[in-house]
Amino acid sequence: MNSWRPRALRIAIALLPVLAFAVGTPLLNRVEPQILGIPLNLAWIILWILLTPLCLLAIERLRRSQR
Amino acid sequence: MMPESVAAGRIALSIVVVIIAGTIAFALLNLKRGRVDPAEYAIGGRSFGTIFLWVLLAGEIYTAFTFLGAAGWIYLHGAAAYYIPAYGAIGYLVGYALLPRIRRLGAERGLVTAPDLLANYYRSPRLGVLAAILYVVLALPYVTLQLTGLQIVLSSAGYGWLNGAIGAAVAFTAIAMFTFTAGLRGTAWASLVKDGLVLAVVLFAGVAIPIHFFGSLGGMFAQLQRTNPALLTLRSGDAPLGQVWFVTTVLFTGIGFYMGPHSIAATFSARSDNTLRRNAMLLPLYSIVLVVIFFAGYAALLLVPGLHGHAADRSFLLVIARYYPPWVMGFVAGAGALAALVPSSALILASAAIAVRNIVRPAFPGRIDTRHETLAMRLAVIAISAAALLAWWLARETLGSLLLVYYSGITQFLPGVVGAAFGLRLRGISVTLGLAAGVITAALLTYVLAHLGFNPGLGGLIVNLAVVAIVETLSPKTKTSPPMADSSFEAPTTD
Repeated sequence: MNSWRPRALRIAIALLPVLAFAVGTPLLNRVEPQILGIPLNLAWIILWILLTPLCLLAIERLRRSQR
Repeated sequence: MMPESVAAGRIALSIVVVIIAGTIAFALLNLKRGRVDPAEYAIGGRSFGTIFLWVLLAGEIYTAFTFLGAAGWIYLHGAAAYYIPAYGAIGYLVGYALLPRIRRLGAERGLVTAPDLLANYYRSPRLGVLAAILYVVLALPYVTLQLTGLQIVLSSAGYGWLNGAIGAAVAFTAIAMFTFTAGLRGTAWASLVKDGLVLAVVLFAGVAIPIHFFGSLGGMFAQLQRTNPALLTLRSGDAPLGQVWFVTTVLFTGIGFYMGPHSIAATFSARSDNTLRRNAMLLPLYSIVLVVIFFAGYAALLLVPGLHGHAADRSFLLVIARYYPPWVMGFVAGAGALAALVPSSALILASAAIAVRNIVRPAFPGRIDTRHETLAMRLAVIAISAAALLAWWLARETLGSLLLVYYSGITQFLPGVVGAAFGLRLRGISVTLGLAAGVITAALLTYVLAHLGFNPGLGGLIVNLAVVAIVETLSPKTKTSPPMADSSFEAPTTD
């Protein structure tokens, strides 16, 4: 039973990109403000493409530290 | 025909031919000599490391569609195309959790194909046959999609001088013979060349072209805001390709990302669980390639406006043809041709292994032993390639919408595959009926009730899960041991 907490944390981290892409994109469905000349909604997608590997890295670290 | 276009076509097509032939030769030179058993032929003997898996698990999913379809979608529908990198990233998350478990089952139980997994885990040869037939049938539109991409690329490189359809048929025949010879290991080597070339071309097209014509990305988007402001945001609510469509499609396509027969085969080819986990972390970077393609699509919209429907798939190639010398077109088209041919090779190979192991062998028990299985797979490669070519002559559709049909179908395998990976005690009969109901619903929603505001495959998946739940509740409680018996048992297709 003592493993549910890290496991829940891992699932929570995994849900971040899912929510960011599926829910965040329609919510930030605007052009302004532009980020480096790129419309906001596309900049948001690019940001989360770069953050998704970091989320997976964090999940992997947590998984290893449990072993 | 203007002599200039003939000369340009000769230059560009020569480069394309050299690229295709060079890639095939490079892959063949790297093959192992000696006897090839079925597991080596179809899944590289479960020996692939991080680099091969990277090109197989990402490169084989982003295909000629990456090149033409994504740019074409941007051209026609603008921000709706953002669903492509979004579902990819979700797919990698699912892959991180799912693929190591699938690989382990495969290695423990000697599984080679996706239907092997279902038939073995649920102890249901019937489920194996149904899954096999569905996989092979669904693979066909995906391969025909590549053939259409190939035709577009080759006719552009020919500057009107070459009949693209005949060129595509010739190149496809070459790659079928290559697949016959090389198996998955050869495909992985070819994929390595393909991804390197694609990366170079995409960076040129998506970064250099906007800067060349508009000074900067910001300059390009500023101009788009004046000429096509509606394209830069998603349509509202449940309009076609609107926000509801976006959310449902991103989630649905993301969870189905690895359900393709070639993706499961690539998973079985992995050396270890950690190889797959490391890949899941590296793969999202591939999605950057798609964003760069979007820039190219937007540039094409400003530079060659006024294209409609299928013609938009050529938009970006028209920019190259109009503003760049033939040798640039040669490299772009060469990369595009490989992006169509190499994933076709992987998909045909997976389908051939499925046809032999999960359709022909159960139909003629005891007739194909392991020694002849590799030969049977090679012959199936030729048969399926010929069938795909024939299907392509008879029916064609826009690149993007065909991909959605493929995804709505293969994602119906999700309950069965997830159940097996996570050791759920589901019955073969409920998974079988759910799969059938899901595929039928998805097909009806796609073809009968076209232009819905939500993803049709998701409707199929909901029916699929409901049928699984109902059959599980209704079927009598039996005392059979759970499917996850700890002793491994023989694959039902093994003699």
